[in-house]
Amino acid sequence: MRSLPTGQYLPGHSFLHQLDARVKILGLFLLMAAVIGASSVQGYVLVLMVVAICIQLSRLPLRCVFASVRRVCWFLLVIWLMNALFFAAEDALFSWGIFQLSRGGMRQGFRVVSNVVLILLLGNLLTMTTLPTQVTTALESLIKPLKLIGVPTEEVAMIISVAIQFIPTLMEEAELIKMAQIARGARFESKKLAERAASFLPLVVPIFISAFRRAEELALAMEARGYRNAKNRTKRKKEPLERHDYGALAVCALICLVQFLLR
Amino acid sequence: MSIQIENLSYKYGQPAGEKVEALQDISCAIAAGDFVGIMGHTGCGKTTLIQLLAGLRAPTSGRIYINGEDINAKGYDRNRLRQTVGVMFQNPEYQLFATTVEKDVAFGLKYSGLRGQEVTARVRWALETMGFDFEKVRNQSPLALSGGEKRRVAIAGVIATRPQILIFDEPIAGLDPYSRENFLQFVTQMNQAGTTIIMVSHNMEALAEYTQHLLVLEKGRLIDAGPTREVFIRLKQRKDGAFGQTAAQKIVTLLAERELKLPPAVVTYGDLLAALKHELTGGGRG
Amino acid sequence: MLVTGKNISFTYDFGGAAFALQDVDITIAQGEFVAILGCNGSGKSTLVKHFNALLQLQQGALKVAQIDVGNTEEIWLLRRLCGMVFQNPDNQFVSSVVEEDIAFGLENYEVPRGEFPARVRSALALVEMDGYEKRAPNSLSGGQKQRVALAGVLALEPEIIIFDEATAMLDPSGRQEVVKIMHKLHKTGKTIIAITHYVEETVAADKIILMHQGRVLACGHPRAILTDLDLMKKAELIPPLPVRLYYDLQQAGVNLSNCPLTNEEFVEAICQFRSKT
Repeated sequence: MRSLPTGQYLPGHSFLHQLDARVKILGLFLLMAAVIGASSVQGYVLVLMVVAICIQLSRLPLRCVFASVRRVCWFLLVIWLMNALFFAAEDALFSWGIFQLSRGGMRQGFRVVSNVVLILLLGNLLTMTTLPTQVTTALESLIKPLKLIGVPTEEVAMIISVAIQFIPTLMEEAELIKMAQIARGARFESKKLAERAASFLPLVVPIFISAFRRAEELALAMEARGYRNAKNRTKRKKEPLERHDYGALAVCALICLVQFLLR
Repeated sequence: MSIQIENLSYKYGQPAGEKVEALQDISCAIAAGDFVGIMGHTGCGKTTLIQLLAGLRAPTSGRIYINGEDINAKGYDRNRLRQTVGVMFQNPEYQLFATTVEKDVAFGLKYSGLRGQEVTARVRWALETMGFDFEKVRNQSPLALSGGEKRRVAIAGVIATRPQILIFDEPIAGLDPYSRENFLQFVTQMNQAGTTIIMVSHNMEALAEYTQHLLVLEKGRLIDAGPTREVFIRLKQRKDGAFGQTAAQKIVTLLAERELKLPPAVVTYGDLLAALKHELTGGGRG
Repeated sequence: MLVTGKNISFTYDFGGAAFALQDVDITIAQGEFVAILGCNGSGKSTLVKHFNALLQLQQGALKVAQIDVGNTEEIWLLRRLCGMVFQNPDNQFVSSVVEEDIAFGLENYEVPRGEFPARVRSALALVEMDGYEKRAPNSLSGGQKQRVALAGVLALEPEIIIFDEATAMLDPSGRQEVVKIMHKLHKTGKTIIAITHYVEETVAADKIILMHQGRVLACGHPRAILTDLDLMKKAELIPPLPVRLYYDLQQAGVNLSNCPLTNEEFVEAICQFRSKT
């Protein structure tokens, strides 16, 4: 409510929107591997291009795609500094106490930050072009093999989907509870670390209570609407993968392979 | 404690979602000891306004002065603000978290400078004001109480610091008539004891009967402000007459359609009853 | 009779022995608009949660649409016939997209997927939310959320629709939206059971069941219930404004011909009084 949640589904008809959700999830894992596996300049150029092409294929407004990155940019800066200042390398430019600024550290910082940014963007592309239920259905079919070892896969998928839709409500409520406590004198902004840590505990209790209460009400509402278990429900149509789905998957696998050959 | 609001605006940073409440250029003054109502449709910016008043958000532009001091100025003591302004949000019962009622009510007193016996005395006062037997309830877990009791403990926690300004966000939404009356009586008592009260509500009758001044917000703008009765009379004259009318005013409108004209100053139940008595027992034709 | 209950008693097992319901008898006819009225803790919500077997009957007998609510075999049929909209608009959605949420019930009853779009569309049309299929429930107003929740119930084509304090958390305009749809559905032949502590919402009901401390205090036409000052006081409720005006005017010597329930009736009565004198 306070701000547009990042990463939420935006309707559209782009290539990415139409791609099968299972392929998108598997593709995400493959491309993530490619990002993490990148070690050379060529490797980074490759994943950078791949991500740029994916964004192009999603036809989403850039502002929305990058919103999540903008939101964590301070965090990214901290990560970079930590790497730049603490990475033990021989080519230290200067050192001061435990800090040691080095070229290697800065490079390492860039690597970590760009990995985080690229993975964040890829993840966002998935959630912004895929309906939550499509994600769950896809997860459900991808985790199906786990059924063999006794995992109730339908239930797990249902839990994931309900949890996803509850997150914004809980975030909103957490924000309100936090404000109410600040108004009563809690010191989340206190400079003393111990004081700050202690103030978060009372925050957790009401958030949990309200989450449980909400979960209880939701369970009643689901029952009232005829939910008994995840099995006796309209089966989702088994949508066969189409040619472009296989194609996309093959391209992702290829990128992943090329990345590891470039190492 | 007087409040002065000058050209207050607030914008949310993120791309505009649908429910984002913003505020645009609001100026008004609230005198010490006043009982002020804030009226407006859902999403008009009421909640944002009270969050700004409590110093929980910093305005995008404009100033808020409490007793002449800019609360967003550098060096303004936040802790003093917390002691001065008490806020009760919707669903106060979700904000309880300590292991005993006594500890919960004492939470806000931690930074008040009170110690030991003074704290206990203050907690006792707050709980007794809310109608509890202090000895009986002090060691109970707040979570074991009934819904109505939780609400009262939460209020006790807010009034324990003796704030000079009390802000309530929709305090009577969902309450049944008797609980509603009890709550409004309590707030009136606090007001008579000198506390400035600011109450956001959808309940036109409660606003008309209990508040002295009214602020009307629409889409983030302050569209009217003034003594409660005058504001209600003005709102009735607006073209979109459905906005902010009391039940009594609605009856006056219906009567006017049948050629029975009552004075425009009829706003509350008592006004309507008096006007009708006057009209129907012969006084009106004298 | 669509609903017949006899001697229903119920205790929540939190150790406390207080009855949440005590010896409640109830009958509701097909197509009736019944308001269950009572203050907080009067047991009204507990009572209706028996109708769709969300709470298990502890004592007494209850039949809803010819189904014995204790019969676990038929619980699913019962819940399809007897839909329920809850108090908190935020706590009844399972999906972050309106059409998928409405489809939730359909999936539970193994309705073929091909029928989904048409049923979703017509359910949304009934609650006057056409075109909201792709929206996120989170982005809607309180009244709109409740209407979407209602659409999720209507998609299953129930006989009875229970509104379990569905207006309590809404602002006046949201409340009006929901009450309007209740009456519209009633006109199409549905049986409506509305639980509330807002007396104004009960004046147009066919019947009021007045509850207090787990018991039925009275049951009858709104005119009989809402104009009985002693009864209302016993139920810890405040009568509608026209009723209060009627009695207060009476004390001042103004005797209106009969006690009005709505603003319109009140104005009519005043006009009659004036033309007589």
